[in-house]
Amino acid sequence: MNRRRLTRGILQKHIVCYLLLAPTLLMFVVFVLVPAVQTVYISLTQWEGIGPKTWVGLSNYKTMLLGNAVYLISLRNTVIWTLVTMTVPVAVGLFQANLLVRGNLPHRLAKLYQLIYFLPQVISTVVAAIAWKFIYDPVMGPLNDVLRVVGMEQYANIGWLGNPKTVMAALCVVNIWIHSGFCCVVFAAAMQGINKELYDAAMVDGATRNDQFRCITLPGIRENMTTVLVLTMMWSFKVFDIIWTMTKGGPGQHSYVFAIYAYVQGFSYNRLGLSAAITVSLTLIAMIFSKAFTTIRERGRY
Amino acid sequence: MKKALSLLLALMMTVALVACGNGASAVSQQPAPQEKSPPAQDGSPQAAPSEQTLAQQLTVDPNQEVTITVMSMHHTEQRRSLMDQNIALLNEKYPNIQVEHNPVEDYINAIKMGFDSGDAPDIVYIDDTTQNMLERYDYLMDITDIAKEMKWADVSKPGSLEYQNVRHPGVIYSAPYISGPRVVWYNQEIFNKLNLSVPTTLDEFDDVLAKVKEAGYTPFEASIRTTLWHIDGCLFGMVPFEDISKWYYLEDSTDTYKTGRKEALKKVAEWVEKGYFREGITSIDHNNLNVLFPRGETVFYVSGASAAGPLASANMDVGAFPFPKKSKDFPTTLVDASDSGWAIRADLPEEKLAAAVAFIDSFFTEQSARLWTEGGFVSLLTFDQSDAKVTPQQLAAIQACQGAQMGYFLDNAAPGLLDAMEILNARLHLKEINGAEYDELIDQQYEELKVEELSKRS
Repeated sequence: MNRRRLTRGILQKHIVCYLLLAPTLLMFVVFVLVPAVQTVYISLTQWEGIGPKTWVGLSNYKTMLLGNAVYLISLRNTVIWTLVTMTVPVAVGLFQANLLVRGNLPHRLAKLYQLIYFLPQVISTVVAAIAWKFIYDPVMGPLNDVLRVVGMEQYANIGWLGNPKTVMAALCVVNIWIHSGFCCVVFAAAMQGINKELYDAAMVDGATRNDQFRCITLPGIRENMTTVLVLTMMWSFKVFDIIWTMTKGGPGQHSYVFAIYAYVQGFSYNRLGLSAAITVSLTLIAMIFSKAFTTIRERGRY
Repeated sequence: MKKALSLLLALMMTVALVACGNGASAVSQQPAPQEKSPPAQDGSPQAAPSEQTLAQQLTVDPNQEVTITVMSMHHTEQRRSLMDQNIALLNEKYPNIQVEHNPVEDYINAIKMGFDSGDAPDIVYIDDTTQNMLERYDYLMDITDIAKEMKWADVSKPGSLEYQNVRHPGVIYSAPYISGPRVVWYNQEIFNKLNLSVPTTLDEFDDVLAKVKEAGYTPFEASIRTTLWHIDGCLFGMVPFEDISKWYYLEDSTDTYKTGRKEALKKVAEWVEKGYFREGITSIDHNNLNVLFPRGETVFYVSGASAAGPLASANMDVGAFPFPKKSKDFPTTLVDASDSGWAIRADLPEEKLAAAVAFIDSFFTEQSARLWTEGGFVSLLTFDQSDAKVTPQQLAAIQACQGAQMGYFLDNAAPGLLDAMEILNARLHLKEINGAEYDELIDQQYEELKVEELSKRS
């Protein structure tokens, strides 16, 4: 009885909040939750995208996991991609932000550089991927021409996107180029919020620039850094557009990641059930990574 | 007051969101407004559609405004322009028929989603494999009687209608009007310079390739996708058509076919070893080939007859010949198939049938045949095209196709085979596998996909 009164009391007190949240909740249910449940259901069926679905239970998961070399290639590439594109843009963005904020640049110049660094984030990813694909083209692209001009001819004949040894690195460069600007802007804003007196006091105590960066700047932007890391991790896991536009997972599956593998199985092989199973596995892996990350972050707080 | 305002605001937001979400689908699901046909002039009641003869059903009522929706893969600028012109031809005869043409690059998936969601277009342009999938679920109208009534077979090259529908002899679901043969284009300038002659057999081809390589040129302009046609071309020149057909229709992989495929893959692997393809071919985008070939660094380019357009735009002096065969007396078969065929959805309302058939019929006229021939395609119709305005490049392609029989795009045998073959092609050119390993791997993939596809059909 008391609990019911308490609940009613809370509802009455916060009814405005619940009512305003209701449309968003409805959107979440309709556009996120229901499709997610449908995807899990489809992963337990055999379906070619048209006609009836045939229940097959965990058969798609068995096909995916047992002795499937392509799944392992995709897993390996996804992990490499995530590790590189989660960390390198953050590092590059941090370096750029530190230069802009602590580099004694005139204010307007610093703002201009920030804008230039952020521009790739504004461009459509597909447009950026098409542009970079042209840059990397072995016959017509400017990259190889530039390498020849600067005397690095031994690298100029490499088909960057067609060489298994360079394809993932070439794709990662594009992702880093796109996302480091965002990281720079976030870190620059965070650094500007750090009390300047701390740096003055550190200078008086004889701390070098590196010491100031390590002991004042990094702890000062810790929360922002973990937020940016979570964002870059999310972007990394769901990468599709850059890789599909530039290589379609090639050459010969050397740049396959989970999203590409799922797409090809679903829309080239008409195996929507298997495609859904791959997507579900990707979601689970992303959830595990996120949970591990937030646990480490929480422990670090205390 | 505050609660009431909040409730109102929340309701308005919900209604707006729901309305936005339903707006698009509501528009697409609404049937096109149909005007009632006027009463017969003598005052007698008109026969209901189901009581009419087929000829009556297919007669377009000029007083009735009809809108038909069409989905196709004619998404490139060249194809869209030709489609618009063909629709204009239709409207010259039937101004009351409005055509909503939706060209889509990834049209197979768009068609699947359309049919599965109940929002299918009235007419679709489909290839052999997609047709097979749609008819399995009774999504397509049997147009055998319609094709007979409209006499499409009479104006088509012998067998082309049947060829498109060969998986179900005697029943026609789609009607093709153009085809996409693959020929070997060659740089005429380099040919003349090196005093080469057009090869007709694979041995002659090998000699010519060796001379070209020795002279400092890269023999083949190709991408990983187009090297499929090198393999297919070799196959059609080595293996009897009957054996290839059995493999293509998932009936049997005969010993003759298997031996032939081993030989074909061995031949292409040899060409890879000898450096007959561009270095870094795995990096080449096949959309750039029409730009790369005119640079004059390569000599041969296996591509569609429709490449005549871009090559003409580049003012390139080229010739074309069919892919060489094992021996001169072996029949010439081109990697080819009908481009696709027009099909009608099974549940098309009766009042739209005449308009839909009139739309398809507009592609079986002399004007349409001339339009698509001059547009760079190979017509499947028998109208005399000798005075069609074609470029020298188009003429070369037409002459290369003369007397040749249609083959298949072998990667179309089962869904997923194209992807599997492209991956193996890349691995062959990366020298991760040789010809024999390729043969083994593609055989494994084929058997797996065959079992899967046949289980869907049973």
